[in-house]
Amino acid sequence: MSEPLLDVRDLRVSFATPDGLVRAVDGVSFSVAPGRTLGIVGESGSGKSVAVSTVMGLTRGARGATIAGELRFAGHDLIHAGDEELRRLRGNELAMVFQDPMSSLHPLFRVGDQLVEAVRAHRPVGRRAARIRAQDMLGLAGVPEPGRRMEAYPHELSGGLRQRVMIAMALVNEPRLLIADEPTTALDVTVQAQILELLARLRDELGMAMVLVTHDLGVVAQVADDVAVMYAGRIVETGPTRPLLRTPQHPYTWGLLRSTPRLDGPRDAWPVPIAGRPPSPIAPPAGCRFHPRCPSALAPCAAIDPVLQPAGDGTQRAACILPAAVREEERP
Amino acid sequence: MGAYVVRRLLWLIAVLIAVSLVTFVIFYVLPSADPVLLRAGKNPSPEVVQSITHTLGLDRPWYVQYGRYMERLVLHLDLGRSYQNDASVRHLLWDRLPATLALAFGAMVLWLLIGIPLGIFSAVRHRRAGDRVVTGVSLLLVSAPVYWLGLVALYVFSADIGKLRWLEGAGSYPTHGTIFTNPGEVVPSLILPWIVLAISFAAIYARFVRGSLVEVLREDYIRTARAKGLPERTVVLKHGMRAAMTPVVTILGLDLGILLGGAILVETVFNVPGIGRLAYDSIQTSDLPMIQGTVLAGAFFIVLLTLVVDLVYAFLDPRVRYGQGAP
Amino acid sequence: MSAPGLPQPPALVEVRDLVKDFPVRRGVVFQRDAGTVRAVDGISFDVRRGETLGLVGESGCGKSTTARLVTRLLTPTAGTIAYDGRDVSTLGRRELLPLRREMQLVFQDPYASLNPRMTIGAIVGEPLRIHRIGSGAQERRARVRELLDRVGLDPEHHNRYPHEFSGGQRQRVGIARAIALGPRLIVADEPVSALDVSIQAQILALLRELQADLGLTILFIAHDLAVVRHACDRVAVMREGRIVELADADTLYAAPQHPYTRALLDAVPRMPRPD
Repeated sequence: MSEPLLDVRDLRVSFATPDGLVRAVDGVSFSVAPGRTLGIVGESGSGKSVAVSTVMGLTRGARGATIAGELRFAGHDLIHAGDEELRRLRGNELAMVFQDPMSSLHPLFRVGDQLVEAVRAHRPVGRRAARIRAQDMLGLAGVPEPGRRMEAYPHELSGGLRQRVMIAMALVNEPRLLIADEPTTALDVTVQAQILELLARLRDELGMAMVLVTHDLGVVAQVADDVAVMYAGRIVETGPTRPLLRTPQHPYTWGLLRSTPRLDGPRDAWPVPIAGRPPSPIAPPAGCRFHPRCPSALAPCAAIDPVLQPAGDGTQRAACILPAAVREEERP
Repeated sequence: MGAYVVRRLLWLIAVLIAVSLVTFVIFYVLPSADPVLLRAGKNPSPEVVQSITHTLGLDRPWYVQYGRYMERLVLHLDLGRSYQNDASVRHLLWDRLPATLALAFGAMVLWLLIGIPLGIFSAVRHRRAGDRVVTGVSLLLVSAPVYWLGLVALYVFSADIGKLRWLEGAGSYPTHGTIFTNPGEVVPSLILPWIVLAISFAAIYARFVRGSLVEVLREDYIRTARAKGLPERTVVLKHGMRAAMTPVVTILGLDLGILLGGAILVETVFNVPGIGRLAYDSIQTSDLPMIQGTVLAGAFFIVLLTLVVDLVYAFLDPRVRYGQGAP
Repeated sequence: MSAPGLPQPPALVEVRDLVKDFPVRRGVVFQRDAGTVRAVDGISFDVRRGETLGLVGESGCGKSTTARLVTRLLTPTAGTIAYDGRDVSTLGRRELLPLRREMQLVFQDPYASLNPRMTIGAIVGEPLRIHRIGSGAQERRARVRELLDRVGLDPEHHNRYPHEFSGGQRQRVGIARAIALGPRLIVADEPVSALDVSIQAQILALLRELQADLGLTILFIAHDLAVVRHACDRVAVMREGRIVELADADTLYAAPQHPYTRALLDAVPRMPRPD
């Protein structure tokens, strides 16, 4: 296998707070090969946003933050790299799109100017050349009449257009890896589908790798090649998308699937909730972090903290000590 | 937009009328020194008193006096004559204006030059040592009354009576010329007053800029700026300050409006012949037309600056537009 | 709900040709009307007793405005709203007060809809206090504890503040407040949109339970057709102030008629079926 573009090993990110040490990311490992898309799925508090923000170097300098582990991107050591080295990568080879485009674009600068700024931060080109590039990128991102839209302020655009602008801004320097943190959550349903399609298309056209962070399994179903499921700061399951969604190996993944409303299947088969709530990141439960909510939990689960092991068809890995047979029992 | 400005100017006139009426009424309701006696001098005879009273028109009921005042004002733009010395109020105000302008604008430039960088420094070093020092000192300076600071400054620095005779003291403002015609003498005389005014305001603005910038730096678009790979300087100074400055500009306009009406305390301590000093003097002598004149001048500047601030705000923040269609 | 062909009970809520216009104001200081926005453009529908009616559409379609009109937080510009056979479209505040006990709103944002300065006990107890339910503070307190327990919260937590709870728990507080007065109609305005999917399922299950136990009629507002599929007996699809399709759920999902309904259905990502 070729050298992964992004290689994360045992990443740990914690924050010192007045209430105690918050272990937001507590030993997370994943990698992304060039041109592949990884979906990171998790609910609030799973640590997924902190993990990818750390890859971008945005958690450095946050108050009380401690970052440990290994983080390699295209030959750079992101943990030990200097601020300037990171800055040169950000917005350049490594780009990010955020959740809420209304608050993520500067309200007082025109959209075109913000794009031009992104270009000139990393390329020694003049304003005019940068403007042309920005306009081309807007067009590529599906913004109609890009020349006119360049002059607009963010509040003058619809939610879908704003997200296209954010995407154009992230891709304007042709990054090798794009991280998209819940890029469709704040958008209308019909627009969500368009944006996902756009991301997939651009990824193919630019030959980019992508990391898509979301809480919605449907989103990864559409776009991701591989999926990593996060819970309480850890990865509990990984695998290629289709096998993971068809034969999940971890009870949490299974619980997520069952609680997702679907358009197929009988109407009276309601989404099944997962009982309880995610644990506090300051004091996670002993043993398996999911065991208090796990319908299949047995006594040893409270004592043993599982690591990712091969499961299912061999391409999948799950952090669960229960044999597949026991987990199978829970399926209706 | 044009219609909006016209509406605001009409509002300005309405405010001035209301202010003048209230001032008039207050003057008659509150006890004050009798201007007639002040003008008449020692032991005036009843005839003299009566004569002066009649000359000043003070033997008429207050609403008649008000009516005559407004008539003069509206038809001839005449603000009346001082009870003390018959000088034209309008003339006097006009003469005193340059000193107030020089004092206000000079101080403003100084406090912005000091306050804003300190505010930025404080915000960036949020909660660390540098911030705490700046915040502490600001708190001290904000709490100190400006006239006390003025007196202390004179005590230390005044060329005639101070310990270190470095700067011109009170009363050094030249009798002739303004900052435009006679800068050589005017500027040195204003240095201490500028510094004293600027210190109080710089402290306020440093805290204000700090607060505004700290909030702005938490916003999502700052995170985006960093994610674009912009240098931290650009993130703070361009993206951050651009957003943080809008509320500061609003306050600046209002403060300037108030100062243009006369910084009474500073002008008095340093004997700067501006509108503020004029107001102080005329209150002492119950010189109603003079008082009225300074109050109206003050009101005028405040309302005018408020309008300017609103227009500037619309310019700074494209989300706020007056009288235009939704984009 | 009811078998087709049998006489239907009269609807709990009858909306006919409902219109709501909002004035558009220009200028900041001297505002003047510069036209209107028609948020709701002549819609008609019934909410039958005991059913759950879904009202689905994207942002700006007028569904939230409709929710507020039905509960009379807004006054209609035209058209009628009838509750239990009675025309409530133009009732004043006084006359609406007793009606408020019968219909309650559950809001979308569990972070913004609870007063951060009130304990959850006070929040849930406030409607009881305002409508003078119960013979005294003690009885009301007992009822509050009962309500908290009913929605799956620990009654001992009644004097904690909203910020001490998670989003799903806060939504439960909102529901407890809504059922406190024993209403017949609950209008839920996107009650699960701001929640994680596993918590969504919890709240949906809670609403289902409460509906069965308390005989509630529910108007369920959402932007996602998948979410309402299980919970709703009938679904109305809204777009730009109008209802473009209204059908019972089985029909709507199996054979959508209107192209917009089909577009909404297509927008839901397809997932492989788990084995």
